Amino acid sequence: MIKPWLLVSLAAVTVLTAPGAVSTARVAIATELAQSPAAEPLFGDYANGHFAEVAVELANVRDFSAFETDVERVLRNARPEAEELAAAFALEAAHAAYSTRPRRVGDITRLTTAARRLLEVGCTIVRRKPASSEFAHRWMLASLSLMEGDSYPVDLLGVSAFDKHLDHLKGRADPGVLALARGVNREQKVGRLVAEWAVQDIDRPLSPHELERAQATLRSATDALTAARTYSNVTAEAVVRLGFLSTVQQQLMMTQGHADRPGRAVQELRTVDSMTADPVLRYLGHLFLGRADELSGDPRSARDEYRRAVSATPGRSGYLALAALDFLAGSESESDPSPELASLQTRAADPWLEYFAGSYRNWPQLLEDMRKALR
Amino acid sequence: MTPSRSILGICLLAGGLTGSQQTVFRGGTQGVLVDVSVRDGKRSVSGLRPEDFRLLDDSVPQTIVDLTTEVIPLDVTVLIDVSESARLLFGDTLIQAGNRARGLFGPNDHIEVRDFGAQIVDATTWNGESLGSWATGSLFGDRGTALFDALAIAVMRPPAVGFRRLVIVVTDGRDTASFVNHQTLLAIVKRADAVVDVVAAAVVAVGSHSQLATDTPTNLPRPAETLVTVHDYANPLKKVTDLAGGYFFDLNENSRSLEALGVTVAEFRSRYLLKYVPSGVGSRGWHTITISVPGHGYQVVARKGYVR
Repeated sequence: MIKPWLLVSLAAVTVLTAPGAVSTARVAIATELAQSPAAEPLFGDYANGHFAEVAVELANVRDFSAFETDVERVLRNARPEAEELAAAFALEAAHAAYSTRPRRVGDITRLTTAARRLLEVGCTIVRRKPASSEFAHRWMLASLSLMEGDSYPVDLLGVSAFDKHLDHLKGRADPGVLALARGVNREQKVGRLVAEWAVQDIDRPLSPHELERAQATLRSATDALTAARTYSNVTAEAVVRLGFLSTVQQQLMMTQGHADRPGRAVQELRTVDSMTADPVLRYLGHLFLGRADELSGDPRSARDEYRRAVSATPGRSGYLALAALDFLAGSESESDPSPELASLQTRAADPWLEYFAGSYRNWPQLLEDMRKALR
Repeated sequence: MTPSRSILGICLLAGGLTGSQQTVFRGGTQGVLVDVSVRDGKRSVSGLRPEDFRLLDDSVPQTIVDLTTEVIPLDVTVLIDVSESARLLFGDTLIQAGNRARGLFGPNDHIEVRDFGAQIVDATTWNGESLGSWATGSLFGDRGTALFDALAIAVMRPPAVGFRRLVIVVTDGRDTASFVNHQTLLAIVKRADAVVDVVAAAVVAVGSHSQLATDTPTNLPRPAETLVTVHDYANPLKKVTDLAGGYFFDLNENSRSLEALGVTVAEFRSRYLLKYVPSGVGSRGWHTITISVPGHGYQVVARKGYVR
């Protein structure tokens, strides 16, 4: 059913798009509105500041491949004064595509392809704008967040347009944020590797060829995050992520039959509380320190770290790690099972589950900041 | 000294049986109890006596001091994989399998149902229609599958007193979100009292390992047609069932696996429960148990050991 505000917004579109584009657009709109929202009226309403309502309508889009084509056509004709709106609208449409529940495996490809094209439509517009503008800055932060969130859910599909987007923003986006995003991008490949190990016969050592590839993937992520670490606005997160990579390296070496002490990154991670007040980063930092201590055969220190983690954020993984330590030490009893185990019944939120999605955890705030920059 | 978990659990189980049913175990002697399944092909073998078994604890022959086949109610956890990958690849198959697994138990059994994707949700009151993770699934809605986490939580839970503990997992076998790694999971299973049965649909990965491990940027995802079936992915789960004295059922290889699971659950109720008091073996650490029925070609399934 067509919302009244959609009809009203058709008038606004005539102001926002170049002469000549409207008449042909209306024909397409009439056809497509019968099935799902059309781009032009939605864009018009977006221009009127109905952000939340448009987001709801975007969630009703059924065929994002067709919708993406429609959006591209509409935004191509956007007038110069409406370009920021067009870029923001494209980004929100991209988010809607990513947020759509795929019905079949093949939908994942269609949805992610449409989302990435929509994002690129917005990016093309933003690249024409001065990089120093507040809107461009906010758009780039939000778009990086989206790309970081994009790659992991479709993890085993492999690659994404993330690299390309990073290249597009080089020299334009905040260098620290961009460097961290590149590190997250590389680290996602490590995440996929770890997931692969989890489902394969991981008790066997890797072959020399597999080991070389794994080491190369780890090195690539480490190099990128080491570069990010030098930017003060992202140092803490880069240190946390380098700490994680160090634990993966430790595990890798143990799989190969070599005991491996935690690297320097883990030592630096021990100062995480002095580096940041962010409860998510503190949680993750102590979680990884606990893992490093466990791998080093020091369950007492591991327990201390896991306790610090859950005191920062009461995440499931931290409590589960504590419960497992108690269980394996035989220190719990049948009549009084680990309190951590009991608490797992209800706890659900866990930053670890969002770890590989990087700054996507901040998407709601970044989106709001971008919308404010439009006003 | 704190008694080991296995021994303590066994004593509590024995105590529960003593209190709530007929006396099963003699005296208060501390010992080890082991659930044992004996099959001749697909047929359960009944009527065996203690002297028919050969039981080794760390390769040292032990004397079975008691044997029972008394029906004991079950304390069951059914874990159902509702991750996005499971939904996309298998539709309602896993949900239906989970529902049917739940239907295998009776009023005397204690049962809890949990569905898991990245989140692990108590679905004991689930009516079979709306599972939380599926209701909200999207490319962003479900950050993977925490199979090992869900298993670890279930296996660590001690059995209710007087019940046999059984964990059934219905899954596509992928784990992408657990914090517990496979080595830790195996260590937990070794120490736990639960028997674990796994019902797995075809375990599938998308993409190839070599591509995932390289750093070559490509702009578009691989098409869905590159789905690769990798049966080896079942190995981690088979190791779990092997250690825990359970069975692995592959829905991909045998569509009648659910019926087989039903038979196994029925058999589980009346498995042989052997008791022995360890002698001539070390007092601490992992003990490997080897059980056989000499003179027959029977398949004997039991947990591989215990931690003292």
